[in-house]
Formats: sequence, C-alpha cells, structure tokens
Amino acid sequence: MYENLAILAAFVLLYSLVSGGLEKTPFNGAVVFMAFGLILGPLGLGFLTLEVDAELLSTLAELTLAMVLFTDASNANLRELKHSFKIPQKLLLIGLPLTILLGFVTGYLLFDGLALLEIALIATMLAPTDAALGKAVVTNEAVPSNIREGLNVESGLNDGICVPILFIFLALATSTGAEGSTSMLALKLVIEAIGIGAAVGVGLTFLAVRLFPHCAERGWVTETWQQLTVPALAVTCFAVAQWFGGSGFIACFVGGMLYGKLANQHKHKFLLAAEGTGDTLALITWVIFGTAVVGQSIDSFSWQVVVYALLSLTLIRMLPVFLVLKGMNLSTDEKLFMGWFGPRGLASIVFAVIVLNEHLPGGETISMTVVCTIILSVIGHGLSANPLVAALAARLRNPTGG
Amino acid sequence: MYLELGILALFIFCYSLVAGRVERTAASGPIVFVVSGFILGPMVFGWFDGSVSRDGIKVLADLTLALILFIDAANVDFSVLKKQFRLPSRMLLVGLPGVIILGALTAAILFNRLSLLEAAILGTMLAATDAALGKAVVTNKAVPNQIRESLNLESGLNDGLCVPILFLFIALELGNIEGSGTMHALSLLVQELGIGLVVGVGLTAVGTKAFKWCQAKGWVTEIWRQVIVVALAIACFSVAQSLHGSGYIAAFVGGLLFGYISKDATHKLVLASEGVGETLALMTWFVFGAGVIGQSFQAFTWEMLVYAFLSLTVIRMLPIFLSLSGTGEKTASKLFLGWFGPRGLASIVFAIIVLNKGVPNAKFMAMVVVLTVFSSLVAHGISANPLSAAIGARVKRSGG
Repeated sequence: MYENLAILAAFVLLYSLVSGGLEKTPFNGAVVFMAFGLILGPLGLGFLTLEVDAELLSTLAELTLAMVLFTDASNANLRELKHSFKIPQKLLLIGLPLTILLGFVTGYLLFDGLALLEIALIATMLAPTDAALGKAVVTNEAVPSNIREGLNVESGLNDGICVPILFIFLALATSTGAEGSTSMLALKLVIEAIGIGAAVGVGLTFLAVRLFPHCAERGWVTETWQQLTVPALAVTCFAVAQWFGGSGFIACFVGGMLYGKLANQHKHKFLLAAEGTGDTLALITWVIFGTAVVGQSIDSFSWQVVVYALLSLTLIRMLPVFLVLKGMNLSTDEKLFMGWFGPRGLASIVFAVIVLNEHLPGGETISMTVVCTIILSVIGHGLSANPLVAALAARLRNPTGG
Repeated sequence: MYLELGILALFIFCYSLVAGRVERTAASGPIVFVVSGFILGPMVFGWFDGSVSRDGIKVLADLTLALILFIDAANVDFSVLKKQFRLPSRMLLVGLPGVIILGALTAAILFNRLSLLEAAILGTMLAATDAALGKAVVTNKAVPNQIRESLNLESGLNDGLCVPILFLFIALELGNIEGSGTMHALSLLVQELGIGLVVGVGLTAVGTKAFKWCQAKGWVTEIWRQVIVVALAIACFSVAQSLHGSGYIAAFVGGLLFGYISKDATHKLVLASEGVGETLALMTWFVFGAGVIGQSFQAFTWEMLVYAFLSLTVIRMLPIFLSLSGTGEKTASKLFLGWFGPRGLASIVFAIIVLNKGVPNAKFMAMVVVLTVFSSLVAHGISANPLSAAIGARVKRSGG
C-alpha cells in the first residue's frame, strides 16, 4: 500500500514542479498521467498495482467531475460571455445536439448488437469536451481570442448540459422492454433528479455566497480555513443533491455558475484551492485510468469500435461545428480548427463509469468505445495542438495564402 | 455513502466560515469536531455511520500525522528558536524525558497488567502535546510572548522527538516477547530511524532544490504550486514507509529541513498544505467522536480515570516545572507552561501504531489514551481563555 502511495505522491510532486513547463510541450497533462499509469502499471513495469474496485473508482471519478464542473462553471466568465456569446451559443445550442444526433446515426450504422438507446448513450457520452485537455490551445496567444474564448466556454459548459441528456437516455435504456408507463416514470424521475440537483446547487451556493462576507467581516474566517470553503461547498452540493435523489453533477454545475456570477471579483482567489483539488483528483483519475483500464482494454477493441472512435473525433464533431459556424465571419481554417479541438476526457470517463454501473447488456461495447475514443483523443489532440496552432497563426497572418 | 459525504462536507464548509470565531471561544476546533462526530454518530442521531474500517482509520490517521509533523516542523521559526532557546530547550531536553519516566512509573504502579516496557510505551504515547488544541493559548495576545513561543515550539517538536522513543520501547517489548533478543530489536530500530532520516533529508533537499530551479524557469503554475508541499510531505512519509523506514521521522525531519531552507517563503508555501492537514485532522477527530468515544465509555475503569487525571497534571506539570527551575521564570508562568500540554492527534495515532504492531496490552493502553485525550479536550478547552487572561493580568501587574 505504501509503495503505491509513494509512487503517486512522488509523481504528483514531480508534476506540480514542471506543470507550467509541460503546458508548452505537445504533452498535455492527461497524456502524461495516462502514460505514467500505463508504464508503471501491471502491463508495463508492474510497480503500480492499484487494486481499484469499481466503487472506489466511481467515487473518485464522481468527486473529480463534481469539482471540475463546479470550478469550470465558476470560471466561465458570464460577463465576457455576453460579448462573444454568439460562437459558444451556437456551438452549445445547435452544435451539441447535432453532434449527438450524428453520433447516433454513425453508431446505428456501425454497431449491430446494440439497442437504439444504448447507441444514443454512446453518442451522448462522447459529446462533451474536456477543457483541461485543450489547455494548450486555449492558453495560446497565437490563436484568435474569439476562437479561444469560444472553445473555453463550450468545453466548460457542455459536460453539464450533457448530464441530463445522458440521464434521460439511461433511464429509458434501463426501463426498456416494459410498458410505456415505465418510460414515463423514468422520465419523471430524471426531471426530478435535475430539478432537485438545480435546487440544491442554487440554494447551497446562494447561502454560501451570502454567509461568507458576513463571516469574513466579523473576522471569523482564518487564512488557512478560508481555502476550504469552496472545495467543501462543491462537495456539499454534490453529495447533498445525490442524497436527496437528485443529480449531484447538475447541482455542482448550477452551483458553480451561480458562484461565478455572484462572487465575481474575488472568485479567482477562492477558486484556487478548489482548482488545485480538482486537478490533483483528475491526475489520480487519469493515472488509474492508465493503470487499470487502458491496459486491460486494448486487446478487446473491435474494428467497429476503432472506426467509431476515429469518426467521433473527426466527422461526428467537426461537421456539426462547421455547419453551425456558418455566417459567423470565420474562415474555413478557423471553423475546421474549432471542430477539431473538441478533446474528450474526464467527463466521458465518468459517464462511462456511471453507465457501467447500470449493467446494460451492451455495457462492454459502450465502455470500450468510450475508452478507445478517449485514448485516441488524448494522443491525437495532444500531439496536434502546437503544430496546428502554429499553422493557424501563420495562415491568419497572410490570409492570401489561405 | 452520499449522506455521510454530505454531512462531512457540509460540516467542513460551515467550520471554514467560523474557524476564526471558534478558536477564540472555550471550544477548540478538535472538541467541536469530536462532539459533532459523537452527536451525528451512531450513539445519538445515527446519521454518520462510525464503522470505518481499521484500515481506513489507519490510513487517515497516518496521513494526518505525517502532514502535521511536516507542517509543524516546517513552521518552526529558527530565528525565534535561537532567541527563545532557553525555555523550549529545557522543556524538550529535560522536561520531556521526565514526563515519559514519570508517566511510565505511574502506569507501572497503577496498572498491574502492564509490563514495565508497556508502561513506558504508555508514558511516551501521552508525552506528545498537540499544538492545534493549544491554539487558543498560543494565539491569545494576553499571554506573554515568550510563553506562547515556548509552547508553540515545544508542541511542534515533541511529537517528532517522541516517535523514535516510542519505537524503541515497542521494539524492545516485541523483542522480549519473540525472544529474538534486544540487539536484534535495536538494530531494526536504528535501521528504521536511519532510513526515515535519510529519506526525509534526501527528498526534501532534492525537492526544494528542484522547486527553486523550476520556479526560476517559470514552470510552476499557480494552481499546482499549492500541491507541492502536500505531495512532498506525503512522499517523504510513504517512501520511507515503503523502504521499511519510519515515515513519521522522514516527515518530521523533512519538515524541519524545508522550513530551514525556505525561511520566509515557508508560510506562503505551507498555507495550502495546512488547509489539507487541518481538513484531515478534522476528519480524524470526527471519526474519533463518531466511532471511538461512544464505544469506549463502557471500557473505562476508575484506574484509567486516575491515570488520565495524573497524566494531565502531575506527570507533565512536575517535570516541566522542575526543568524550568533557575530560569528566573515566575511560578505562575512555570505552572502555566506545565498545564498547557494538551494531548491530541499524535497520541491517538501512536495508539493506532501500537495496536497495529501487536503489543499485547495495546487495546487497554489505547483506552487509557482515548480517555486522557478526551479529558484533555474538555479540560484544556475550558481553561484556555480564563487562564490566559489570568496569566496576562498577573504578568502585567508584577511587570508594571
């Protein structure tokens, strides 16, 4: 046990020292963590033998996503969003449903053995993009700011939007075969889950934002403990909503949005600790993903799975994005660029864990497809980020060439 | 599971808002956590299932102590230590051994079932004081500066000093039982301490060097900077443990070296890890309240109660008082320094270590520790503010 802890702690230490340096290289965090897990895991050197049971992995993944949803939503600058709202608005309101639809059609053509709802699940699980994986693009000054801002806002919000869609499909998929009334019941449950989640997130966050200045004015807050307010708030939103039978992810997402709006000026300082917690949890999740999941699944990828993964990263996302951005005064290069940079990551992993827990008949294929897509995305987007950014910048500088 | 997570997170959230206020009242943080754990736990409301596995508690307590040893040691201000060397050095070098010896003798007399070495183990477990419990005193401006600094330095260092002594007694006791000989036990101990020392010094030296280098290159981001000290402390602990050394020594020595190297930058770097350490401590106390206190009540005997009372009074106060003789301190100050040695997290973790090492009367000793810690929580919590005010008034009157 101490060996695993030692390896993980040493790795976290090392990464925390060079994080900024790595961001400038083609290797983003996720690819480093995953490779580390794979190399030290049982398939590689065998130093890291994490016996992760499903429950532990799902708890970890859930908490990670809860924290990330909260911080991402808080960081989505709603005021700036109004300025350049058009691009992300189109991406989220039209592009995202189209991506899910196209993913569904592709899945229908490729996978024979899966039920329709299971295919819809795959399409939804692979629709949200991961901001952390796209960091190299989003923080690169060479990329025009409206594109960066658009991608950033999109990836910050689309995982939250996909949660209710996923739950609806999941509820329908688990109740198929029964009468229509059960589907209605399932839908009612989903709406309840979303409603409770939103209510808990709004209520708790509102209370927290009101209470904090009240306590701070009276000098009740200490320097050490003040760091913990936001991380604890995020976990509270998640756990309380789950306990009431609501969706904790919705609670975190809505809570985070509200927090970002209400705590506008000081939020950066208070969010810092939550971001540190979220990033560390994400690192651990990725390492476990590399150790325990990637190694064991590579053998079982069928050709349909690989083809779907490739299409998911290219056609299924790029075509809707391209069409949606028509008339936005963007060049073809820019539209293609935005279409390509929709990396799949943490949200998809957590969705896979959630779906796996439901033990659907096609569960194996579903999770294999998701895993395969994530692996390809981590590698593909990681390696292409810097060269493509440079190419785009060069093209924009002399538009006659392009 | 979500209910428990929700309660814990909500509790941490609420406490984070009022931590500063609570520290100024009679109720210290730990007592709030223990009482909340007890009330929410199976004995009263039953919302919080206290049945955390032994492994779970051990991991939690291990990490908590490792982080706290590192942080406390890192926060030791060497410039203050040099100036204020007189009192803490006497308390640590003369007072601490005195406390251990007196504690062992009292235990040997009171508890017939304990062997002499077991009595010594018990004495050592209860010699370490907890800085967090004494916070109300250490941060109270009414208390003379010198006394506050001395208490702070003492409690920051004495848990680290108790670790090798505790391990020595455990090794001797186990060596006796297994008949493998004292020499064998001692060589194991030296090996354990040596590895811990080397790992702590080595990792911290390399870590801080690497940090400065990477910092200069601009590789360290604002978000990940918060993680460095936590990762370093846990790395010291777990690397030493996995090499069969003492992780506690590694964390303690690593912390000392870190504070020494980083000097003024320490506070900023350590801040985030203090947040993690405090949260872990909160959870440990909470679990202690929910899962341990309630179930232990029936096991307490009057001998234990007598020992707990003596441990908090004579066993600590007499050696500390004697060790300070000839320093020119007033009797009131010496008694104050003797009284404010609250027992807390370190003693609990030591009890868990002893339990896991398989010392024969470990369960019995753990009960004594639990009772003493609980008594200390109450007594030191209640007395902190009144006594601080009293000593402040006294010193002012005689001084002015």
